Amino acid sequence: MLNQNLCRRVFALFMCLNPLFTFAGTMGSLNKDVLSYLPILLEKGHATVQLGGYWGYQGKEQHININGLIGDTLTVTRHTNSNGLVGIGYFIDGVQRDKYQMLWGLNTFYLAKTAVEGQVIQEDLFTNLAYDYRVQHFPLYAMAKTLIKTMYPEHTVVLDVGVGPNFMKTSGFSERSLDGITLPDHIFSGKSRTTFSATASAAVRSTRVLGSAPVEFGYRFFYLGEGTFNKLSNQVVNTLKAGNAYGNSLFCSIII
Amino acid sequence: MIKRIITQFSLGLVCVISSHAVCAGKLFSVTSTGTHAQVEITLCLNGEAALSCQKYHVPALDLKIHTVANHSYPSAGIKINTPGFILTGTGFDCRTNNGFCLFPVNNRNDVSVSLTEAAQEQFSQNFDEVSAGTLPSGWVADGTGAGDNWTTVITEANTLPNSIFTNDAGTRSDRYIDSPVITLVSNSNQLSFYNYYNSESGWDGGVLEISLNGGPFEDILDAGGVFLSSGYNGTLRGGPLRGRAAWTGDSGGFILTSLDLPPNLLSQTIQLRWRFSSDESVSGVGWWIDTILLTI
Repeated sequence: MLNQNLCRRVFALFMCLNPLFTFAGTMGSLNKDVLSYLPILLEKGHATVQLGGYWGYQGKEQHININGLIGDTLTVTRHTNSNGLVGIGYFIDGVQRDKYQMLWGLNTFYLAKTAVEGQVIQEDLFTNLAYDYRVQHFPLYAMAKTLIKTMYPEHTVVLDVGVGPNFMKTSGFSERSLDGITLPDHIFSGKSRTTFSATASAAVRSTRVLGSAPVEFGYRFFYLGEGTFNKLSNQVVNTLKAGNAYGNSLFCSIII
Repeated sequence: MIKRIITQFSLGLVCVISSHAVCAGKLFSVTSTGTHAQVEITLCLNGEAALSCQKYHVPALDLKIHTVANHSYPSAGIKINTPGFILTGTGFDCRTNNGFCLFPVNNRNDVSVSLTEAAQEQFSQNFDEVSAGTLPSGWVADGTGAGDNWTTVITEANTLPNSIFTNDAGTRSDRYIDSPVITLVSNSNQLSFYNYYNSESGWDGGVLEISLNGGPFEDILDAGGVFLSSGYNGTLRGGPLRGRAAWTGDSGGFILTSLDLPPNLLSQTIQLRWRFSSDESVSGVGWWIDTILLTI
């Protein structure tokens, strides 16, 4: 009975996030059925809005092969960069025990652009160019969240994990001369890619900050996958990759 | 050679040891001798896509180029950025669409490159901007006899679609076409044009004439011009130009005729005339002219 109830809630949550939901009023009986789950969803679930900052780690040193040349080695001088993040999610209540409660949900984040910088060692001999590019992430996670009660009724420990696709985009690849005589090659351009992503967080939920509205403060780790670039010349053999990206964030969640 | 290897090894060693330091360097070694000039060139290790390129300023026109890295580059590229200079020499493939001429180069053997001051165009006409059957502004065709007047045609062309043409009639004819008046800005002028004649050999043919400062037309050789390539190939035995050196017979297609105009004509005006004559019997095909270029 419990599992059946849970399945109905998850199904309702999924359909809620379906864009077709917006037009449900004009659709047939199937979506009317879906709408019938909405009261359950609203009663047994909660939305969350997250704000914070993150420190991204990305970029990797690699050799770019060019027809007829020894090639270029692209080093990375700046792996880490920080920017803001926002997230929204919706969780529904799951198993509830004396010491803890499980919640299930979907949570999506926008991790604003962060920069990677490096240098180009032409023919593995001369560092004649510098380069930089940007990476942004839009991961969507299926989440499992645990609320663990503490000795203080107004404070709860929150742990969660999630997996899902990361819609990431590299952009703004540009080079500049370091010696005044070398011309930028401009051989790569940004590319959108979907990668596997995972996240985990630890936070403390408090009901003493914004009245009775729960607020969470915590740390979240992201594994964001590897971005890549388009080649702009057929003389370039292999393309540039952004390396596996990780993010460490401090965030604040408001439970609605 | 040993010095070059030691230099290259030292550069590499320094860069490897200080791998985190910026160690910029030139990809090519360029030395220049000969006539002094200030010319900027771009050299690329891959000229097909213009990759790994650097700009070099050279103070003279005869260049020796080799690479610094110990590697053979099959398609390095060179492009001259300073207007008024062109690349001369053999072994360059300039059929790219990015402005680079390709050449093989390595760190062991110098490639010789010569730069020369390019001729500056004074006047040109390829007859392609008008409809067939009409002449560009300033060009005048006239003559006597049974032959057709010069006009633009699409039957043959060095540059598509048009050239100018007059036929080789089987009766006596004298047909000419005059260029616009051209004011020369140099004492040294070169004329070139593409020339396709197919006439009764020895009897029908064409000549080039010139008028200086509005005076009477005379043969280009009589006026002091000198053919540099594909000049007159015979003497006519009949027709209005009997006894004159001329182009006659069959050239087999367009050939490039070039010549030095008479010297010391700075600030003077000229008019050029292509003149074709045929005698009283036996017709041929005619005479086509295309891609006329006057340079200093």
